[in-house]
Amino acid sequence: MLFEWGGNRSEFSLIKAASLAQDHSYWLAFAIYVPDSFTASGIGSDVQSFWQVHSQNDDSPPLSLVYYGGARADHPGEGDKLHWKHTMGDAVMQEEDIFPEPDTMPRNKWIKYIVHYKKTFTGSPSLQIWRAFGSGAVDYQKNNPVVNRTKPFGYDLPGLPDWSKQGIYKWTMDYYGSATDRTIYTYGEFLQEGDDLYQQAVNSLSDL
Amino acid sequence: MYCRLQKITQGTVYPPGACTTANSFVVGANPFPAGTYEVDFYLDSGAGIDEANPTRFKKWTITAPPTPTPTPSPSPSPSSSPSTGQKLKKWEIQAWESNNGGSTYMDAAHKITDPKQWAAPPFYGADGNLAFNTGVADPAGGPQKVNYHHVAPGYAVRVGGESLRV
Repeated sequence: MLFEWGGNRSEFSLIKAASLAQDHSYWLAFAIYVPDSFTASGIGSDVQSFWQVHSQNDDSPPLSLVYYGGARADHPGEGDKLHWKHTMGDAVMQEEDIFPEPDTMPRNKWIKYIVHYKKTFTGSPSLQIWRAFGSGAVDYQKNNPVVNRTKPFGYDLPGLPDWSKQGIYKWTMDYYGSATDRTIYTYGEFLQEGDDLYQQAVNSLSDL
Repeated sequence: MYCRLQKITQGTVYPPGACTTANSFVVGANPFPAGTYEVDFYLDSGAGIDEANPTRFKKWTITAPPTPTPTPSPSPSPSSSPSTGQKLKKWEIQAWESNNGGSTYMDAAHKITDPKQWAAPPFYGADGNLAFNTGVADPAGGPQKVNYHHVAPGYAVRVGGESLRV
């Protein structure tokens, strides 16, 4: 039987050579819209990604925005919620930190994210993520990010930059089963390098 | 292959058992509470397994979601380290390819061998329905054009090294 680690997908990504170099500070902004047709399955193996930063190795991505249809032990989390997963490790060990978002995944409204991504193993890493709902100018609650991580994350791969991608990446309903029929919308391609580009990242989504 | 689940925070260690399916650790509708967990994997090559030395292991920590705190108004961006930034707007369509021998395809009706031959979106799935497009209307009714993503059984799978630059 065919073992498909990669599920059905419809996504785009950064050109790998021009993306997120280690020890550099980047700001990204994007938004997702989940329509009502995206129904909750209640099934733990119903796992899919909407946005990721990937490493140039075969291990898990250092950062993923992942939806879980239900609870699951080897990909734990809460059903019908989005989760931020941070992964670090090497070829033998993988360690994950999983942050469920506090509410059920909203439908029929834009979910906007600002991401500050600085992966380093020689300095001070920073992973901060802000979230806001709705169209137009929205409040990201800058003093209350949904993720605020200062301990290391990702894989120590100097010279091999990470890259981000967005869109629907559907793990199968079961590893050996078939995928569900799912649709999402995305917006935003903001990616700039700098120490503090929070406001520019916010502005890039304000006309949505 | 044997698998063992540890609930480290609770000090619970389950004995290794044969990984009869890839879905052995489904736990039903109840979410795991915050804490640290680990799954150990053992490959038995005929000499049995050493519980102290798993072939691979995966460890994770579930953190309780933050309690939202009201903020009176959006805060201004700090100006301690202003930067004009460097724009790196270079995107490409994620390569889609099968993993059953390396042949690359968009869908059953449009098999191709080189993803660089791909035309610009829209792309369609094996059932003929739209899989990906750019420049579609905002479903919330706003003025911007957005991206559409759709998957269904039989659609393209597997990340690959080649991509289409757009």
